[in-house]
Amino acid sequence: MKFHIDAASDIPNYLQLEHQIKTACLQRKLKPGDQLPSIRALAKELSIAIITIKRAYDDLQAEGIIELRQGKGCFIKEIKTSRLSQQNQILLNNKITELIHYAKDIGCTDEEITNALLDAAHKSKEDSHEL
Amino acid sequence: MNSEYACTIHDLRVIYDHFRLMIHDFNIPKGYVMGLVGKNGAGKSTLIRSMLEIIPRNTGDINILGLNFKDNAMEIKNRIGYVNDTFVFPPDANARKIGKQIGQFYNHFDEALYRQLLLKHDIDLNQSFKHFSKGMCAKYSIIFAIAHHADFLILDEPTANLDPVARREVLDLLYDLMQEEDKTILFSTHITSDLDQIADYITLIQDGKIEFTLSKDDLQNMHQIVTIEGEIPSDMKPHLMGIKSTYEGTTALCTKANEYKNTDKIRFRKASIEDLMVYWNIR
Repeated sequence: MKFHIDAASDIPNYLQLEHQIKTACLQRKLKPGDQLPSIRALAKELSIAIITIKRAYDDLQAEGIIELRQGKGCFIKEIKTSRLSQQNQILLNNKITELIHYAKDIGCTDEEITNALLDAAHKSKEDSHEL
Repeated sequence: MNSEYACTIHDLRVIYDHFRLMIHDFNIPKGYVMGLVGKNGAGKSTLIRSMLEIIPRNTGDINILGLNFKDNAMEIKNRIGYVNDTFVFPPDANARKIGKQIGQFYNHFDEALYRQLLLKHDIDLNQSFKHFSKGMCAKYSIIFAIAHHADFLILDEPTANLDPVARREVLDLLYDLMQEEDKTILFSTHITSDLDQIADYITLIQDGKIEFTLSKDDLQNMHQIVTIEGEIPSDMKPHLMGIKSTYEGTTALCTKANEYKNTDKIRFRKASIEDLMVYWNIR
């Protein structure tokens, strides 16, 4: 399971990591009982601060998505998919807002944006059917 | 207090004719990397040198790993490592000699660890220091400090003259050291991009005073660079520093960015540590 923190992104690093772990859970790339890397090992691997990983792990633990087993490490807990879907809705809305700002910056009209979104969604459905 | 912090400084004053260092409270959490930033002449080196009793101070209570120099100087020196931008070993010596001759002064000099680190970082035990590149000198100094199992590493501009590749290698060394939970690093530098990666906490010094100490996450969460088209919202104005007019509109550092959202006219972007230094306190 590879995580990637974009230092240039406007989203704080710890939030990026939290989002990626939650998304991986929803996509079943991470399953209950799977072990996450230790805080310090992951900090080194991603070249970011230890405290950032700790913050992400603490937040996820408070949300009941991961658990720390003393002396053993960090593990994915049972996931309540409804809570995660809510999170994903928020993430999606954030991304859409970013996208709309970008499109407006380059001069698109509302109609052009809507059409582009529908075309892209349609194409992505076709691609996945071909697979 | 002792178990939480690698170092506590209270009421430190170093007074010169043309400069005053006045630190009310500065505490370095154990197990993390504390970045110390500030312009040249802001007081970073004065703080470090007075903390380590290399220069005298007018006032100040200083505890290092729960000990003070008056009662426990030897033990402190055994448990800390200090590296700055000057190479302190004799040019005609080599790593093998220094390991044998100086290693023995430390209670916990680990010959095996020393050799392992030198090997890993391509440093020849028998090569004379005078033939070392700057990058090798920096790595060697840090390796020597790590090899005597220092619990608290104080680095004052350790990467100042290094090329990007060498700096990356030093950072790797430090990340490896920090795999252990009880190691602490104080990393003073003006190369803020290194701290953008590894620093857990950032302290900014300006004109001999500490402006803030914040965790990396609080920094990224609360402090962002904002670009505003049109008028600055009146509720945001008190939280803005370094307001500038540019072709994009007005840019500034916002210190309460977490209370606002992006809109059509207001856009936030992450502030780097360099941004913080450049925008801070300019009103």
